[in-house]
Amino acid sequence: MSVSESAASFLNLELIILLCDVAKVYKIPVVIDDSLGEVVSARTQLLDSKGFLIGSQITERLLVRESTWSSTPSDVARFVGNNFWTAVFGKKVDSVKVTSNVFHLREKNFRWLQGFSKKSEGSEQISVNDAPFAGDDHSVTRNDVVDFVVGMLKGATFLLYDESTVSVKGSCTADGETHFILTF
Amino acid sequence: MNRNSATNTKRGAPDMAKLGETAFDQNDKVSAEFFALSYGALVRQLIDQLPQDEDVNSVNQQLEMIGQRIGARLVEEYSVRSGGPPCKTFTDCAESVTKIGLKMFLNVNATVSAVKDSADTFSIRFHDNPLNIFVELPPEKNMRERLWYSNVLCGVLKGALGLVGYQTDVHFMKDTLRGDPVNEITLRFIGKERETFVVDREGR
Repeated sequence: MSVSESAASFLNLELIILLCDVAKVYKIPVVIDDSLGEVVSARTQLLDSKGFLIGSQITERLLVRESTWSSTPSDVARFVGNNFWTAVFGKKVDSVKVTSNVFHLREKNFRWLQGFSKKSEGSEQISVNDAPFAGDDHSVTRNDVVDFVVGMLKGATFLLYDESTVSVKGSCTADGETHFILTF
Repeated sequence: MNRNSATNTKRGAPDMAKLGETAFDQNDKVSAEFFALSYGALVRQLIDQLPQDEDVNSVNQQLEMIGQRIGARLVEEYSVRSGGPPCKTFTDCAESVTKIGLKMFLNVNATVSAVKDSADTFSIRFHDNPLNIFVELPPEKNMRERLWYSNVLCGVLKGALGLVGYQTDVHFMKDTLRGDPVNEITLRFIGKERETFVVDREGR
């Protein structure tokens, strides 16, 4: 059973917009991400946690159809790039490069970012008209979309890798490429 | 089904259901389960942030607004890829949006019929709803009686038709989540905007 990719991507963009709005009034303590030495904003935390939930839920549904499952890093990365990507983005990931247990998933023109300008990293934004929260800033950046997808990938890999934590980082470049790095 | 379809199709008129199937087949597709889970997260978030415990109608309103934005985006793709005929009458519009639009994007097989004694109101019915495949409405907050869980669909129809100049009132009448045997949406055409190069909403 399936629906069109565009309906799902527009719906998820709306979810991301809603979560960004919620983060403005949410009282979440800021967290120091030890691996980065960076402060993680409430916005990023909320996108990450909701993305995690959806990513783990859809992965659980996908695994129902797998007769057997072994959770080596290669198997996990292959499942993510093929099965997960097809279920969520309507296609397989463009490319995967491997170095030791670091898997670099690359999208040349990531579908969920096609509505955003590619001119510069992180500063451009999509404006939302007629938003329900009048008077608020309703800008959403490419980094917000990436944060949400990173959360989904964390949820997926957590389930696939026998509930061990996999480090997931995401970024998008000035020329429009999007990268997700899974470190086992 | 084929016979009914043939009966309903005017001579030379396109088979709307066939156009919808073709448009859907040509789509890139994602898992309907992923779609339902994403939507569930959206609805849950709206419910969780209700300022008043009983203000469920604001969730319905927000779902419709979100749907309008989605519909305004989808209609652009519909115009380019659906192969649907131009909408010259309210009936044309209702048939296109139901048999092509809902099928093309959501894989929903819906029927549309004119409401008795009315030239501008249509009833859209469908059994399978991809939005609610994992949902049970809880008794708390009178959800079962007051939440139209899939109200985003009304917004999608309203937003899409609005962008091509038709003002409509769209609302749910029946919902399988409430125990009804079928999902039913009423689509009422309020009017058509005159085409102008500059639309001044405040001046209208």
